[in-house]
Amino acid sequence: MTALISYHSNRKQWTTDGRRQTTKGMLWAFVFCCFTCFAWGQTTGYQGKRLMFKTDVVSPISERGINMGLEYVVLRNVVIGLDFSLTGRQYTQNLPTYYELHNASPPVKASIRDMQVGITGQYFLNTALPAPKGSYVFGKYYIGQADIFAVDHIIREGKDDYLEGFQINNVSSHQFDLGVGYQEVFFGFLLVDFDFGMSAASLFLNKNNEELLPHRRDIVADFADKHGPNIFSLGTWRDTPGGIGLSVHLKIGILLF
Amino acid sequence: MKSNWNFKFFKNKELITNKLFHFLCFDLKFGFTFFVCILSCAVLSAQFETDYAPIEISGEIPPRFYHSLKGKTEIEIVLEDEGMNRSRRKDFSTKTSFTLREIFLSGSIYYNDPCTPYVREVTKKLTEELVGSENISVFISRFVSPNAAIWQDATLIVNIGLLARLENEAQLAFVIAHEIAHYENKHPFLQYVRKQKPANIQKRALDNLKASVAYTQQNEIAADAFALELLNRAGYDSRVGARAIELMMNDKVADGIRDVGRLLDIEGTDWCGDLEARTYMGKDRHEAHHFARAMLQQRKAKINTDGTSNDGLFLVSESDFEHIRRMAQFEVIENHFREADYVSALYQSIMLQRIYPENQYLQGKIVESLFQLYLYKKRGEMRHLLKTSQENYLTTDLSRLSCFMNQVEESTLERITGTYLKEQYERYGRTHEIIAITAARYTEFTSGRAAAKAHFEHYIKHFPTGKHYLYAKGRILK
Amino acid sequence: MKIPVKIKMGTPMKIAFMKRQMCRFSFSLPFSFSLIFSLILIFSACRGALQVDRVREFKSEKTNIGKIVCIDPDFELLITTGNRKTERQYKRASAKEIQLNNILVRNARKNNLTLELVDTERLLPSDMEYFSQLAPLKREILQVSFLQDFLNRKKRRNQQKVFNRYEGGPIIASHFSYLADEYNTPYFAVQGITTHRKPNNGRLVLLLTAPPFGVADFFSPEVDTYYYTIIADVVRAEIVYREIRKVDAPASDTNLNALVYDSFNIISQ
Repeated sequence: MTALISYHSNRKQWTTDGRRQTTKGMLWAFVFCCFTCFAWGQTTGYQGKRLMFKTDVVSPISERGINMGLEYVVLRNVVIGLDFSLTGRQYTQNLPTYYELHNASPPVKASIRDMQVGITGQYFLNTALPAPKGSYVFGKYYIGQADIFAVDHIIREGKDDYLEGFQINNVSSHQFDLGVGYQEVFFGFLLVDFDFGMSAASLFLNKNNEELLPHRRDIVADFADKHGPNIFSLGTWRDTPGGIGLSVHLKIGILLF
Repeated sequence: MKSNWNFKFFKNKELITNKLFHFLCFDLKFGFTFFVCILSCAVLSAQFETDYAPIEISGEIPPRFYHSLKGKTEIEIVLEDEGMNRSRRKDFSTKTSFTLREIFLSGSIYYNDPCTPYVREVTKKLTEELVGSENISVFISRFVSPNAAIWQDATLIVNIGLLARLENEAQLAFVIAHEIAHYENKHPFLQYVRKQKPANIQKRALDNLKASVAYTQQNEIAADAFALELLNRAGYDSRVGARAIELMMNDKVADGIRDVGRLLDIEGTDWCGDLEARTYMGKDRHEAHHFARAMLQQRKAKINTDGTSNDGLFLVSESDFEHIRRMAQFEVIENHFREADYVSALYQSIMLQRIYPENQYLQGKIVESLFQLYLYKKRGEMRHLLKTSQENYLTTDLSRLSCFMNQVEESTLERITGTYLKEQYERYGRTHEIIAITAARYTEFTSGRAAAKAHFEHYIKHFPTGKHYLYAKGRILK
Repeated sequence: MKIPVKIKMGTPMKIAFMKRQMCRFSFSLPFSFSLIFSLILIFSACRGALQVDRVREFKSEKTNIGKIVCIDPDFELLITTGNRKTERQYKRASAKEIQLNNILVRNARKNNLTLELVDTERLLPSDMEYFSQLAPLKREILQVSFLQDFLNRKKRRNQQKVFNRYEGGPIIASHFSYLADEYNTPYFAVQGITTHRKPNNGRLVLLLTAPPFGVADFFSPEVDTYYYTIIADVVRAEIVYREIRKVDAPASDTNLNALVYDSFNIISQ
């Protein structure tokens, strides 16, 4: 809830520029897959239960957001899922010019507020124990829109300086996760899922955006290295700000039916 | 003179009377006994002459048997500290209970059968004066190996294979007494204690070999001594112990393999010629066997020295023993067949056919065994089948038969089975269920379903209450 | 003169672009470490094996299965101690057997199968038919299953399929066919679990590369659980279905529920 409240109020509705259609298409594709897979043989689930609802308990802490999703066992060892993710993480910017003058980081924190939907595919490694129980490898692809808020350090003719905030809205964001996990079922309905993997995220900044002055792309790239990985960043991109690194999730959920 | 004559007469009269009395009392008794024995043997022989019905378990489960089935109900074994702590003793108790439970549950123990009461009677005769012997419960198992075993909870299991092999009641009494001695001396527990200390017995290869034999030689000799005492006290001939041991080891039937060859119309040269049991079994097994033999020789010598010989060969009933022995010989064939040891079943059937040439059960078992062997040959599983029963092929005859079955061509075995089956089908096809159904199955395998249909219909017509009825019906409908 | 061509980047192109960028990304030490770590996790993950053999006719008769008689399921618990001695745990296995029986019945019901479970713990003195009929049949099924194979063993060795269908299964004796009338089903099953707990041989690599997992892995014992189901059709006198599965995990209720349900699910399909 904290994450939801902290979410930026002036965020535009997610109905512009036709992206809703894509999401709608993805949703229908997911539903279609689920129903067609009923007919496929040897799909067991856990005691016949195949639909799961899970929520991440790490996201509210590490990303100030939520991550939840529905997953469905489509084959003996294959699970596909639809995820919804909302992040509102704040970053301390490192502006070299500001640091030279004030010997500190800017007091105003930058933020990336991102709302994404994604599809998940899990392949369970144990042949004898069918999905959704046991160890698995997973791949996730998220697509969404982000609002970026950051400050720019402006020095006016060598006399005084000030911080100018700028906001870039409706930035197209993409994220790709790959890793391994383990899921256990308790009492026949309670799910505990732990996964660990590599996460790569990217923000596609629109060059036509008025707010986006050429050097501001670098400002965003400077702090966006942890957009994506939630525990450890291994690198960042300059042209499409984002990062690559390690992510950990601990999800709790229930087996619906 | 008169008086003398009278005296003589009276003397002669007395003599005659005495002689008559003696004749009536002893010789006639002997003669009568002899006559009864001959008659009973003839009756017994006639019982198995034409057919044999295998023992089928029926009636209520006896209480002692039922008690052993319950896993949670552990048998109390009172043991003193024999160098083992309490938990280990408890562990031994648990293992004994559960192992026995598994044996009982496997369906390998007879109950409400004709053999068990007789063996119990012999045990009772042996242990009349033995304190604490009332706890001993005797059961007969389906196991074909000629042996018996006792557990520390006083459960004595006598194998049907032993009953089939022994020659008289005194020998059976010796084996039982020997096992009781193991129980009295707590040998099962001591053996368990010994196994708990692997460091002591893994020093050398020979020690390992010794460990593979159930009890130590020292324990066996002690048990033999106790058994001799029990036999003497009961009035049995105790020297038969040596022969009993010999019988438990040997299973030699003179020229058995020739009989098999003759019956199945196989040329003598087709057999695995000079194959010996030792080479067939492999070196290791032979050495173990040889080692056991050496130990037994020592025991036999001791029994011959310490035992006493008398007329006590049958104290309970000779006729009962003979009847049970014959029955056990048939049961051994049945159990060999149940254990999928078709080579032994075939061999034993042919051997018993020497005594009962017209026995339909034996004809049926020969047919069934041949068919099963042919089936495994056809599926390419013969080698695997023979390997699992390899430990039963201790004699040269059985080794050669097994080797032959392994090497024979499928077509040859098909011909052998077909020829024998056809012959028996013509004789017993309408009266013997097993021959009728085997003929149908054989035809299905060799000539196809259409050709077998007539045979299945034949079975349905003649055996509407047969155990194979639904199977036969299913084959026709298919 | 160069004419600037403005190409609008669609999503696929953006992904391609991302990929290109990722390729340029240098393999730093932490990156290499995490890659190795992930690979170790994958390979140290709980694995299993499953082999299902059934005759074609059994599949086509799926609507007629209905009822199966399960003859006294077995639960065997083996423990190998540090000195390489393997012992059977009878008491614990006996307690687990009761759990297994409940799990079998419950999961069969969930798959619309009627499982008539013959439990020897509940035998009455009058239940002599267990010894005269079912114990010999169980023995026959296990024996034949061991002695005969669906195909030649050599051929099978090269076959890696999980689900195999054959013409003609192992042949059992035909004199058990009368049992179909008595129990109202031709299907008789032998099922069981064998659990083998071995001393941990401690994967040092995992301990060094991934300490939290490594420590857990180092101190937890290795357990293999085997579950088998063999179904014989007594009227056809053959084994129609045979399944064996191995899991590198203990026979907990959750695991057993998953295994058993899946097994009955395959049978009933």
